[in-house]
Amino acid sequence: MGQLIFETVLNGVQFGVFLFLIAAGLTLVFGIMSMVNLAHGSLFMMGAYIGSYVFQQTDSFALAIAVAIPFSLVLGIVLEYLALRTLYARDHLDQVLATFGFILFFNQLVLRVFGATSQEFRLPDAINFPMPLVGFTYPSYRLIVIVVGLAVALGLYLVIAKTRMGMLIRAGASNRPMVGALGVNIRLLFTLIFGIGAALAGLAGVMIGPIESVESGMGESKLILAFVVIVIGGIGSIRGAFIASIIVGLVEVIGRVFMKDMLRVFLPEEFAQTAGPALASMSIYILMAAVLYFRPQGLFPARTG
Amino acid sequence: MAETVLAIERLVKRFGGLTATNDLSLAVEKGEVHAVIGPNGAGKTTLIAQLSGLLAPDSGRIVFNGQDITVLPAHQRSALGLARSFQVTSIFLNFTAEDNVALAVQAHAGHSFRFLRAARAEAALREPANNALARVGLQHRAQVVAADLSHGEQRQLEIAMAIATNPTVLLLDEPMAGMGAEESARMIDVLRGFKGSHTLLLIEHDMDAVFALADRITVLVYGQAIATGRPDEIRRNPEVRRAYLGDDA
Amino acid sequence: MAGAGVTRVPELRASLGDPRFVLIALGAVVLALFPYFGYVWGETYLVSLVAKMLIFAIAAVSLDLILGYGGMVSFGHAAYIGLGAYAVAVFSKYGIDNGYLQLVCAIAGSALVALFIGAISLRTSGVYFIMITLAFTQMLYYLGISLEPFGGDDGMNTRRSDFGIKALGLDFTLNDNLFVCEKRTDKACKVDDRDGASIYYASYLALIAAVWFCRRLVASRFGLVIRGAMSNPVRMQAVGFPIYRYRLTAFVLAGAICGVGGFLFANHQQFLSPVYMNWLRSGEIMIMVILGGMGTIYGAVIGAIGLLTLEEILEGYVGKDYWQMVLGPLLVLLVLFANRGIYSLIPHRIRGVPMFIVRIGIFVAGLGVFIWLMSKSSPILKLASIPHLPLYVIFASLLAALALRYWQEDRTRHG
Repeated sequence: MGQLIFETVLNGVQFGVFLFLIAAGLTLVFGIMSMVNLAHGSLFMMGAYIGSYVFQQTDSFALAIAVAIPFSLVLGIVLEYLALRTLYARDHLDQVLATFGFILFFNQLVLRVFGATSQEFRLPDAINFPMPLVGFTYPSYRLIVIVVGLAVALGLYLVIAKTRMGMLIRAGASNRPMVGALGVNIRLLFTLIFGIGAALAGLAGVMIGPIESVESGMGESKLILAFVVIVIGGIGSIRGAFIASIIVGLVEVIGRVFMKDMLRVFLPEEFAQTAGPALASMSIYILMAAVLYFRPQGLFPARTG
Repeated sequence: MAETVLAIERLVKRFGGLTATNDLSLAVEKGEVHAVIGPNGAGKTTLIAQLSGLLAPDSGRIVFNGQDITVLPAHQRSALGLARSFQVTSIFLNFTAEDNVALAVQAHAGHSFRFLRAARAEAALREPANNALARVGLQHRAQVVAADLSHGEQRQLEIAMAIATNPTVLLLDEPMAGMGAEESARMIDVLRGFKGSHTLLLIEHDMDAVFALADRITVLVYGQAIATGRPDEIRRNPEVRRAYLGDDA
Repeated sequence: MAGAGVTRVPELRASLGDPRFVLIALGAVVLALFPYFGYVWGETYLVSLVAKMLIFAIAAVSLDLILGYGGMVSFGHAAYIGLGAYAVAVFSKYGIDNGYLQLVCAIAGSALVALFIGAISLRTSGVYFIMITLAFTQMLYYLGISLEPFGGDDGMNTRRSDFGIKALGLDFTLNDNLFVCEKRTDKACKVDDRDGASIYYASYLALIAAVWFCRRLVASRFGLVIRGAMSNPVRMQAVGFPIYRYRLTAFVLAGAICGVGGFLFANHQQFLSPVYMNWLRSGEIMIMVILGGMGTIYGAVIGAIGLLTLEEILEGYVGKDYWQMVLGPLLVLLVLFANRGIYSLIPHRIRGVPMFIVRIGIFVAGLGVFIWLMSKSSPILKLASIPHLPLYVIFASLLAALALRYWQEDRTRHG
């Protein structure tokens, strides 16, 4: 039992950290460019697909990651430059519809090019073994994911808090027109931000590939969760995104594993069986609805302007 | 006997470190045109926002016709007879001028849960609307889409929407904003036409308009009323001169 | 788009001088007579297909009400199709086929859920509103998947609704066939359970009713409040309208109308699946509204018919695997270039008709060429056998479209 709880909590943290990688790019793009980018999930998916493709060709996990990250970066920049740039000036409805179109396109694209079966993506045994930890064991790879995620979070924090570009990002999230008026090359800044977000999403994709199935449409469910994260955390705030992703990750995973048991305490068996999974998957949205109701600007809002 | 129709009692509003409204007290008498003037940043628009219900004061009271309306939401104040116009024109751009005013009339003509009858055919809405348009001199442009009206005409529409509901008190936030000399003169005539039938609380920068229309003037500086009185009194008041012209006046 | 929102599309005049009126009246007549000819010519599949278009038109019309006139971007509208369908399926599973009961429950259920979702969501605005409606749909979708008794992920079959009234000796089930099928062509005139003309007419009548009601609604006092609230919510409050309750009412009405669509859809498909409530479905309905022309009601009908026709054609000629690849970029291009929709392109004076016909001709010809290049009988294939040919055609067209846009932009900048 102890092992189960230990694993579940760590899985929750791992899922949360993974969600953060996706949510970070989303919250920056939304916070600074005020753009709703539904295609972010597709960038995540493309990272996973390219990673698995490289792995299938070379049998090297390291190479898969090494290729997937720059690929996602470039894909993101190309997408931004060719098509998404014009959407900055449009209202949110236009952005939602246009990026929705991209989702359809990419989902079908991978179906066509890679086929409908989910991609093969295995982990080398060297990094995937049960690692002894604090008296319990935990899969080493998941631990690696957690470490990488935390490292990225730390890196992002340092960049945003300590560097000049980070200052521009914070200023842009807080008061966008002002930053433009200050004469900063806004276009370049935007493209860069978008690219970073895309690279992070690609990284998330290639890292999660071996754990979850790589298939068409894998981006959407993560995308919705990422939006829930940034709404809870506060749009434009990296810190908010991090804390919210950990919370969401924990609620989601713990809910999935223990909801049935928790319900069993005061509900008859058959109800617990059906209501359990249903309530578990709904819990995140209930959380988001509650946050939106009591604190509509999120837990750590970045916007002041 | 001067009857107070709108009483502002010790109103306070702070934004972080800035006190926009600083223990402000003001009494508007029935039937008068009461102008509020002051240098930029004096807190005039913040005052109107609190009076109309879009902003909640930190402390103090607003009493309208004997009723405490301090926490009442905007739409309920409008129903009680407190109408406002906006400094930055805020109309319904995709509707015609007549539609705009008719909407204001509709807000006070019973509920709007009528689903099948065409609202544009209702004389009870159209007639008062056209009357209001005529009062501001816009009746010949009634069928023009609001977005196509000139700036001055849009300001006139603003006023029409405010008076369409026959309010007790009109809060006018810089009705002359952005107008040229000719349009301003026309607007002054329009507003003069309301003297006696309506009570006006007028925020304005345009001194010609203020001295032409106002029965009494209050001078606002840093959120406080430093002087209230008749126009000639205010003109002579040394503190007012200092506030506007600096210490070398 | 909705932001600047100054609609210059003149109101529809009920006269022969307004081509839009003629088109719509003509369309209504053609649709009314369609099943008869469909059966006579043996094209029963087409009748079923058009019935599906009419059903989605109902959903699109209900969305246009809140989206086009109210500015409420609800990404969760497909939920009500699902709820209406569940009303049929759940009763059907327990042996209750009474159509009247099912319909009442479909409407009431959708209205109640809309009331709940709207009460919470309408306290937010902008993108928060979009996300929260999306979240609620997903909740319902997951709920549907986890309900094993009703088929869960796989869905389940359902029987047709029975609208017979025993007391009057009236025996009538949705999906009954109203016409005798004549063998006129080589195609065997096979009528299977799904091709009944009565489901078509039920959908048709429901659509007419929905369109009539919504058109009256948007011109009424209520409609003006909703439209004013989209145009300038602050002013509406200042003028004296408590807009929240009006918006909530509109939201509930839209949900209820869409629930009727769901009821009909379950009957049409004779199948229930939680996938009906998927957010991608919501997106599709939104595309229909935008494609046809937001804020016109008739546009929603045009958009529903247009989108489903396009999907059908693409599926047929290019293959099941490619139509979304075309739809996606098409949507992007639509948003970037033509976001006023088809309805705004229809001339409102007879003078504009010839030009309109020319434009339609060019568009259809262009689309035809595009589809032909991607199809199995494409001339490109005659030159070389290329796998994934449609993929390359799509990419090439996309690049061409983007290049065209940049060239246009350059011209306006330097020209």
